Amino acid sequence: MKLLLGLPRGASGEQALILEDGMLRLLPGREHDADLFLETLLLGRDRRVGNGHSTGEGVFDFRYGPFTGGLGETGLIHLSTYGERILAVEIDLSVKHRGVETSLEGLPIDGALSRAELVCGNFAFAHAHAFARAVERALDIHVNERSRRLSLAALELERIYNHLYVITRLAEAAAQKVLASHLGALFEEALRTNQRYGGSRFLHGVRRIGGIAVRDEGSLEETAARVHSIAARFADLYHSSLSSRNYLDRLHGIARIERGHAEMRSLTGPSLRAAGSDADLRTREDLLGEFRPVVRDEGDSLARMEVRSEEILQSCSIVEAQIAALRADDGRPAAAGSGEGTDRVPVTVVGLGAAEGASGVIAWAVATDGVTVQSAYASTPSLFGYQVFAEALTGHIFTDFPFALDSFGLSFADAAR
Amino acid sequence: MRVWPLFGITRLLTEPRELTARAATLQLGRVFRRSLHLYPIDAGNSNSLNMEIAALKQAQYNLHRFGIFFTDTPRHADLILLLGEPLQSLREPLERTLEQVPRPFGVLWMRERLRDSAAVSAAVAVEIGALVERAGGALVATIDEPSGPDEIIGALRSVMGKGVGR
Amino acid sequence: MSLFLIFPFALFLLGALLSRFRGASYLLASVASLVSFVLGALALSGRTFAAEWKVVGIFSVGVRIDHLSALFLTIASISWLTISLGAHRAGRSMPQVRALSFNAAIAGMLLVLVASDIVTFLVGWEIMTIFAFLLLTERGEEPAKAFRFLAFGELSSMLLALGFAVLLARNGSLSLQLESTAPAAFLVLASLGAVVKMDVVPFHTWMRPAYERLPGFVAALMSVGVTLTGVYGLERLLSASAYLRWWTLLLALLGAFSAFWGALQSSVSRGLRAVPAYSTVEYNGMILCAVALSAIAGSGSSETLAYLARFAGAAGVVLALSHALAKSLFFLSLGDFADRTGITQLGEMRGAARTRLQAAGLITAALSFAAFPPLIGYAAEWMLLETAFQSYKMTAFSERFVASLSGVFIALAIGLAAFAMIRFLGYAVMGRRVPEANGEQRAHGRTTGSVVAQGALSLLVVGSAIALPALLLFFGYGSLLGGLLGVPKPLLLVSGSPIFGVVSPTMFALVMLVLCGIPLLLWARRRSRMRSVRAWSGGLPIAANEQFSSDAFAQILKFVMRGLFRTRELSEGARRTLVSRDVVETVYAKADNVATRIGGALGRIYMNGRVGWYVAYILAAFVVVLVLAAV
Repeated sequence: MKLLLGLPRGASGEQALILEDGMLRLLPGREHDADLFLETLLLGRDRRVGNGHSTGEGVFDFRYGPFTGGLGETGLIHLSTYGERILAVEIDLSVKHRGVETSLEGLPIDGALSRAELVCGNFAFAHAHAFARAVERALDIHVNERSRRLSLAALELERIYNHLYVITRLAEAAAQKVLASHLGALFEEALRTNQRYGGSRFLHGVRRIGGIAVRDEGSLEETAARVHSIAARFADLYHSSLSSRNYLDRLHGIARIERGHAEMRSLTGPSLRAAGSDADLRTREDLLGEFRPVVRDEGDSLARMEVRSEEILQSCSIVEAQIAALRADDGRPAAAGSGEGTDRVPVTVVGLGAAEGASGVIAWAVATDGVTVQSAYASTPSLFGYQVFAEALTGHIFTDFPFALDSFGLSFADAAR
Repeated sequence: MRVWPLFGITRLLTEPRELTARAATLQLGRVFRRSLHLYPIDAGNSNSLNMEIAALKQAQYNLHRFGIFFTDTPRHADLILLLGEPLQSLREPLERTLEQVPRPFGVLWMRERLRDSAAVSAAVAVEIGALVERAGGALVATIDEPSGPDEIIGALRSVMGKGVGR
Repeated sequence: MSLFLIFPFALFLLGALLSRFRGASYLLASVASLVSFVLGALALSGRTFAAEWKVVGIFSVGVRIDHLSALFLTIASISWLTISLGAHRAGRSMPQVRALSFNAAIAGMLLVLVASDIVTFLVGWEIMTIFAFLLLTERGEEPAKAFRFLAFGELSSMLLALGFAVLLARNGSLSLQLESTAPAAFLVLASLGAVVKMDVVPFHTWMRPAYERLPGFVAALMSVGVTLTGVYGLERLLSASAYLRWWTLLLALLGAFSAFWGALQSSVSRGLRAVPAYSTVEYNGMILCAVALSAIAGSGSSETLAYLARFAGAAGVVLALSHALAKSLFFLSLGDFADRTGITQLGEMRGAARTRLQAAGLITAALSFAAFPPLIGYAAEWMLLETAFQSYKMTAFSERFVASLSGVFIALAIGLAAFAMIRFLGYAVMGRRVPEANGEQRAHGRTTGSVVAQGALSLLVVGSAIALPALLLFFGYGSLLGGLLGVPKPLLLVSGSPIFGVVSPTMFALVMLVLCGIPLLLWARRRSRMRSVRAWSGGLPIAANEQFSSDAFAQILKFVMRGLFRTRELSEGARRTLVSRDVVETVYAKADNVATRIGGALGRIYMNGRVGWYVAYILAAFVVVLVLAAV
C-alpha cells in the first residue's frame, strides 16, 4: 500500500513524500500513484479541505466557527444545508495556519525540534519523535536502546491520553454523564502520569536529538504503576459502556468510511484501522516484540471508538512492558542527547522521519546542514482526516455531527500547522 | 448492566488541591467573589492549552465548589480565557467577540512557549492590551506556560478575590 | 327610513361610474362603506330596514337588514372601509377598470348581505364574482390565474342557482325569509355553493398563483370580502333549512380539515403572499367548523345544548370579525411590497418591512393569527376550541365523534398557524438586512388614508378583544357573559352552562399591562447603562449566503410530514433543492390534464373542419328537434 503524504518543494523541484510498507521515501515529482484529487488537496493544504459547497433554493451555508463552544478548538467549518441534512462540508484551515514549518528555517536544530512540537500540542511527542528521527537519519546519529524504549513508552503515553480525550468527548456528546466524568478523570490521571514520566503534562521537551530526557528511576516505576491502574479502571468503564444500548446507538453507522477510499485519501491511524486495514508503523518496531494492530471492519464511529479503546489497553501494556524491559537491563544511563557533537556537514542532507501518532502517521522531511535547519516539511494526519471526515459526514443530519467529528480525533492546529 | 448513578455516587474523585499562583493577578471586583463564568477562546495555540482547559473541567478539580463555571457564549462570560498568542487572522473575530462580553469583564491570557522573538511578542502583548481595553475589559493576568490546573485555579481564585490555598 | 338602504348602493354606483377619476372613485367607496357600517350598527341596535320593489310577475327586488345581515354588514363594512382607504394611493396608478370593479364588487357583496329573496341574492352573488374576477385580471398579463377563480366562482353560482331552483319548485315563492322549512336538497346544493366561495379545501387552489402579483388592497378584498360573503351565505342558508345531520357533520369535518391543511401549507410556503393566502383557507375552515358545530348543537333540545349553540354561533361571528380585521391589516401593511421591490419570496425579505407603521401592522395581525393573547384572534380561537371540548354534551355518537375529531384538527391548525406566523414575522420584520446589490428604500407608499386605515385596524385588533364583552353585548350575545372568581360581571365570557370554561381578554390585558409594565419601568430606568452590540456568530460577520433560509426553518415540517407534502429532494450536480407540494393542486393539475385531453380529443372529433361532418351534424340536429317538437 502506497500512500502519498506530502508534496514538499525540494532543491530540484517538487517531490513526493511516500509512505510504502511502513517506510518513508522521497520520490521526484510526479512519480506518485495518487490521483489528481489528492494532489490538489496537498497543494492547497494551507487553505481548505472538504467537498465544496452546495447551492439550491433554500440551501445556505451554516458556518461553524471560528470561535464556538462545541469544537474545543478554533476552527472554521462550512456546512451546506437546506435544513437538517448536511449536503456538503468545507473546512477552512487558513484561520489556524501559523506557518510553523517556514519558521523553522534557519533555526538551530535543538530550537527547531522544540518549535516543531508547536505544530500540535497534543501530538507533541510524536512530532518531536518524527522530527528527531528525520534529523538523526540525515546526520547518521545513533540512538541507544534505552532511549528508544523510553521513546516508545512516551509515544504510547501520548496515545493513551489522546484516546481517553476522544472517548470522553464521545461519551459527553451521547449524554453519558457519569461515564464521561470518570473517563475525564482518567484523562487527567494520564496527564499527571506524563508529568511524572517526562516532566511535562503534554510531554513537551522530552525528546531530544539523539536521545530522550526522562527524570529518575523512581519516576519510571511510578509511571508503570499509574498506567497499570489506568488500564484496570478503563477496562472496567469500557466494558460497562458496551452494554449501554443508548450510547452505542448514537455511534453506530455514523460517518462510515470504506477502506479503499480512505487509503486513496492517505488516511492513517486508528480511523483507518477501524475500516479494516492493519496498517500501523509500530509493526516495524522490533523493540515492541509481537505487536498486532487493533483492527475493526465497520468503519463507523463505533468501530473507531472500539479501536481506540482497545489501543488504550494495548498501549498501557506496551508501556509496562517497555519499563519492565528497562528494569531488566538497568545500569546503562539514558542518553539525554543534544545537538552537540553534530558537526557541520559539507552538503545539506535531507532526512525523513515518521511516527505513529495517536490519530495517524506524522512524517517530517528535514533538510539540514548539521547545525541549522534549512527547510522542513511536515505531513500531519489531521489534513487527510478532515478530508475523509468531510466526505463521510455528507448526507448526515446535524445531530450526528459531534459523533462524526470527535470520533476521528483530529485537530485544526495539526491540519493547519 | 451497570447502574451509572449508583456507580457515580459511590466513588469520590474530587481532591483537595494545593493551589499556586505565580503571576501577578488583578482582582476583578467584589461582584465576582462567589461566581465566575469563564469563556475560553483559542486564539491560535497549538491545542495543548485547549486540552489544559479540558483537564481543568475534570472531577479531580471540581471547579464548581470554587464557584467557577464555564459558559458556551461570550454574552454570559465574566472572564475570558485567552489561550495562546492571537494570530493575525483571528484579531478581528477576537475583537468582535470581546465586544459581546458584558462589562465589567476580565481577560486572563495564557501563552505557551513563544513562537516569535521577544520583541515581536512584546509588541503583540501591547496590541492585545489595547484591544482588551478598547473592549472595556481588564487584562487581569498573563501566564506564560502554565504548569497545570493548580496554577490556573490559583489565578482564578485571585481574580475572584479569594486567597490562594485549598 | 328604509330608503336609506339605497344610499350606499347609489354611492357605489357613482363610484363605479366615476372610475375615470380614480381618487374620487375610491373615496366614494370609502364613504359608501361608512354608510353601510352606520346602517348595520343602527340595525343591530334595533332599527329595522326593509324594502321591496316589484319587477315583473313573481320577480321583485327585496332588501332588508335583519339581525344576521346586520351582524355581517357591520363586520364587512369595517373591512371595506379600511381597504378602500388603503386602496386610495395604490389604485391611483392602476387602470380604470380596477376602480370600477372595486366599487361594483363591493356593491355586489352589499346586495348579497341585504337580499331578502333568492333572485336578489343570486344577482348580488354574480355581480360580486364577475367584478372580483375583473379585479384579478391585469391588462397584458396572462388571465389563466384569474380564470381559475372564475371557474370556482361560477361553480358556486351554479350550485346556488340549482338549490334555489329546488326551493322555487317546492315553495313556489322566492323569499329567503324561511324558518327552517327548506328542503334537504336545497340545503346541500346551496350551502355547498356558499362553501365553495369560502375558499376551503379543495376549492382553494386558485389562490396561490393568483395572489402573487396582486396589489395589496385587491388581495385583501378577495381574502376578506369575498369569503365573508360566503360565510354569510352559509349562515343564511343553514338558518333557512331544517337540520340535516349527515351534511352538517360533513361540513364540520371539512372545515376542521381545511383549517389544518391551510395552516400546514402556510407553514412551509415560500411565497410572500402564499402565507396569508393559506392562512385565509385556515381561518375560513375554522369559521365553517364553528358554524357547523353551532348547527349540530342547535339540533338538540336541552338548555345546555342551546347555550352551546349560541356560544358556537358567537364563536363563528368572532372568528369572522377577527379574520376581517387582521387579514385586512395584514394585506394593507404588506402593501404593494412585491411590486416595488420585486421581492416575492419570504426568505428574501430579511426584515425589509421594518418601517414602524408597517411593522406594527404586520406584528399585530400576525400575532392575532397566531392566537397571541389578548388579541381578538386568541379570543376567537379559544371560543372554537371550547366548543369542540364540549362535544361530550352532544346527543348522538356520530356528533360527538365528529366534533372531537374536528377539535383535534383545529388544535393542530392553531399550533401550525402559530409556527407559520412566527416564521413570517421573523423574516419579514426582524433582522438586519445584509446589504445586497440593489439598495431598496422604504417600499411602502403612505397616504393619510392608509395610515389611518392601518392604525385603526391595529387598534381594533387589540381593542375589540379587550372590549369583547361590550362587542358581544352589541352583537346580541349578552347571555354568554358572566362574572366569577373576582372578575366582575360581565367581563367574563362563559363557554358553557353549567359552567365549563371561562376567559376574559379584558382581565388578561389588565394583568399583562401590570406584569409587563414592571419590567418595562425597570428597563427604562436602566437604559443609560445598556449598549447594543452587533449580532455574533462565531466572530466573523454573517455573509449573505450564511443566513438561515426560510425554507430551512420549515424543513422539519416538510420532512416529518413528507407523506402529506410529497417531499422530494432534487439534485443536479451541486444544486440540491427540497420540493414539497400542496397535494390538492396536484390533483387539480391531473384533472386539468385529463379534461384538456378529453376536450381536445372531442374537439378534434366533431370540429374537424370537414364539410361532410357539418352537414350530417345539421341534419341530425334537425331530426332531433323535429322529434322533440312532435313529442
